[in-house]
Amino acid sequence: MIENAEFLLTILMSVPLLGIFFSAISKENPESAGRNVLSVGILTVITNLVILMLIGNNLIHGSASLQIMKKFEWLNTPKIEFLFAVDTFSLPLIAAVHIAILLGFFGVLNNSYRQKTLVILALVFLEMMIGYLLAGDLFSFYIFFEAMLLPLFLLVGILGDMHRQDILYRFFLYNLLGASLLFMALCILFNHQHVTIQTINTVVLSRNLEMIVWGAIFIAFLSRIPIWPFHYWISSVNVNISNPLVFIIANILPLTGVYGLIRFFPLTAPGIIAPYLLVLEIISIITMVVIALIGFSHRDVQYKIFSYMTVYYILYLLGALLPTDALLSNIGFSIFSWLIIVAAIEVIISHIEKERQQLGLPEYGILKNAKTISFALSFFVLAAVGLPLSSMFLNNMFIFAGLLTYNLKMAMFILFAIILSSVNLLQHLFYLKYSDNENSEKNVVAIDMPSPIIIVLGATILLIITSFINPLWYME
Amino acid sequence: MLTDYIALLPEFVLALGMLTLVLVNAFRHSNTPKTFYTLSRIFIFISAALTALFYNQNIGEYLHNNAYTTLFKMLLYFFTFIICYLSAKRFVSKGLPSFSFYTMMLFNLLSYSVAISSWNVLLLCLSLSAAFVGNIFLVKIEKPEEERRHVLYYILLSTVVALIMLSGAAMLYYHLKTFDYRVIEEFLSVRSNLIWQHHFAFTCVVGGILLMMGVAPLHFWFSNVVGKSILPVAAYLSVVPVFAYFSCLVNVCVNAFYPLLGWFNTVFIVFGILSIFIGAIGANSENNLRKIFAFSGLYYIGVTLLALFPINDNSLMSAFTYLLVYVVAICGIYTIFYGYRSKGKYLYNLDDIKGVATQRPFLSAAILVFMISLIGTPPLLGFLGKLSVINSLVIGHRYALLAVVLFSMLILAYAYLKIITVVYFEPRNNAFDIVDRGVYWCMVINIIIMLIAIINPKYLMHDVELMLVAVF
Repeated sequence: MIENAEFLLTILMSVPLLGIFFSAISKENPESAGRNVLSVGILTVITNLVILMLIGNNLIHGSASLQIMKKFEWLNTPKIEFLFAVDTFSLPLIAAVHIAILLGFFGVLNNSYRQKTLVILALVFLEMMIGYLLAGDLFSFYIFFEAMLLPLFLLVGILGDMHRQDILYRFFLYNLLGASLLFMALCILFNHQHVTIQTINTVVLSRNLEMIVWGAIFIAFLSRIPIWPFHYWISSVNVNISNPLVFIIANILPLTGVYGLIRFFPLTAPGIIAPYLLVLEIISIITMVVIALIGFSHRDVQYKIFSYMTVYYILYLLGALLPTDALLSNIGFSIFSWLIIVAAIEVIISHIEKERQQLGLPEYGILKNAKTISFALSFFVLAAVGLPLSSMFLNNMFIFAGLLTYNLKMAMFILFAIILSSVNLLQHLFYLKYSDNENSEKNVVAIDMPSPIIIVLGATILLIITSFINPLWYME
Repeated sequence: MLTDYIALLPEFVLALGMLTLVLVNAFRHSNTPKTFYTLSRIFIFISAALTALFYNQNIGEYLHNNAYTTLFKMLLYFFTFIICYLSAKRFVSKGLPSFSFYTMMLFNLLSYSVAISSWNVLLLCLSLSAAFVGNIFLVKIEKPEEERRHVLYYILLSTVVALIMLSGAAMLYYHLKTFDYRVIEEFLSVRSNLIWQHHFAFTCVVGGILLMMGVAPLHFWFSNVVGKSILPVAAYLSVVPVFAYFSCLVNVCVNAFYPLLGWFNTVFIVFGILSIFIGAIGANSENNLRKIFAFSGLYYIGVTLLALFPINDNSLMSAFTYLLVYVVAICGIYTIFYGYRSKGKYLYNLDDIKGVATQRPFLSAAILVFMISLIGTPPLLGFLGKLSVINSLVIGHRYALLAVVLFSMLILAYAYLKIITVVYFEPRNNAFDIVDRGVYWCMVINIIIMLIAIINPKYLMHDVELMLVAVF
């Protein structure tokens, strides 16, 4: 245990800033092909992971409250103090975001197109995510919620193969609308009773104002999650991205919506919103099923991964909306494994796709002669579908049990969507591993993977297995 | 007797500066574009130093100096100096005469300085009108006869504005036999004294200032003039005068016409809303970068008006913060416009700057920072302005206006997204000239100021708040 561990939070937030600075001044030439700046990015993330381990050692397990707090007085009129803190729910999420981005960095190891821009923007996004997940007061929460939009917009715009800019505009503007609504609501709450996130449930407002405030907060967070009517532009943006790092980052964004809802409504939704919760749940489940079906009907693997992610995001959202606090840590640690697994799948799939295009190989049976890649992908896909390989297994069982207890019919639909999205991934894995006879002759060329990526994937597999061995680490 | 007028030294220095520039232009034959910049820079520095020195000295009953006036004057000096510095780069690189520009800079500083300190309606109207009419010389710089239609338009407009303001002042004098702010306020405080002529006078004076600010529906001239003038003039008109108009508007409303403000509040709010909508929509309809930012300026002025009225400590602080943040960002944007050159020509159309990020990444990163700041997205300085205004509206329970401000910002953000798209995502179609080091310096200083202000705004804002309340 370290005394006065709050300085670790300062370091955690400062390291990406240093990384951005060194990335900006790193020299690149045709020989280095973006390796220098990528090394800076990788080093930055690894440094932060070490700091996160130190923070983890200083956390009191079994406590649901915020720990290791750092306060910063920002403005006198109005009096605004920023509070950064961590708990057993946010820590695994921060770690998962780091590891996912680290995997993304390894995924772009051979990329040479605007690598510097890519790494800088990824680190800016990482900084914003850290701030968001550490935020303990209303304003810092909002600041990072909105600020992360810009790096994402630029990443998707510059490196996301986005041919229809109107979709990109809408993506940005709808998110900005959500952020503006959140800002308005937070200003009203702040001026009313100077509440903090922890005391937000105690706030008393007039009926109309309560409707405006909670409605705005709800819409703001939902605008980040691919639920109808927000699913269209989010899916349009996601399925066009071929760069694995950009894809991973774009798919981390909905986490901010789920996390926001969990933070703002830890136990029950406010009374004024409660009647609308059923509507939200119905919309969520319909979205889940429809997106799982869309994933099933598309051959494009990006659709399948997006559909899988959406289904799980909505599962976590519905779990968070249950009238109990008991599942929050389960959700947190399940997301930890899930995010890392999806990032690893995306890195492997995009590598395979690139190799396939370069070597002119057929789509089916490409992994026949690539044992290592085949093993890694099989492991991650099987972990993703819920086999006992990661912390998702036990924690998702708890979440699902909660959903079953709450509403049996709803849980059945959710189960159907989850099975369908899992089948999507398994189906693609099957295509990659097994070919028909006609093309088998062409598959003699073995695709390869750079050894640094193999080492990182190996380490990730170990980490995932560790999470399975100790799936309830946050318990006392 | 002398001590009564010693506080006029900054204005005297500016007048002396003008005279010196005229004499140098007339009798010195080896003048370069830099000569006038160097001279005006010296006079601006001396005048700024004297303004700070005599920050609380009054000059008879006509001119009052206090922390409030000093704050605005120092801002005028600072931003005028920046514009002068950047403009020198342009005049030198093109080898064009700069006498008119720098003389008018000193003249405008003198006029605005008098207007800001003024406690006399006639003096206020005269000095503001003089500066506004004097801008004719700025607008016509480097414009051949065939391109001077907008100059004639401006001459006509400025004359009408001057006449409106002076007729308001005359009307007041006809009824009250005084131009003094305090006497006017005392008289108007007695409700039974109020007659329609007082309202008319108030409307003329305040309406004139609003027209000079380019507030909708009196905005029609601004984007046209800014879009067609040379870059230094466009930059100057977009950045500097707004401080003078804002300061004079608040001063005259608080200290002379306060009893009539309640009657006019609705008009301010309607003008504010109109400005917001027209600004946001107008910015989306343009391809000329200067016009886009002229319209976006209209949006910010509209928000400033909404935040300002009804005037109190809190609303003044909010409106000023918002305005300051806007001007810092727009100054940064114009600094970047000085870097957008191809084959010696300054570019101002969206199509001309396609893909500039690939060749000028720092310049593009800077314009991105400034535009995102203008949107009010954290963690940039614009957020501080947005926070202060939104907070002020929430405190006043003006939720409908809050919705207008936020919704219109989304429309305006679309215009900025177009620029970001052109700069970053479009393929390059121009070879851009090497950017002057001075432009980079200005850009970096601007960004450092923004960073310092946003990381720890409490000390800065505390002092500013103390200076602002001196107006009451």
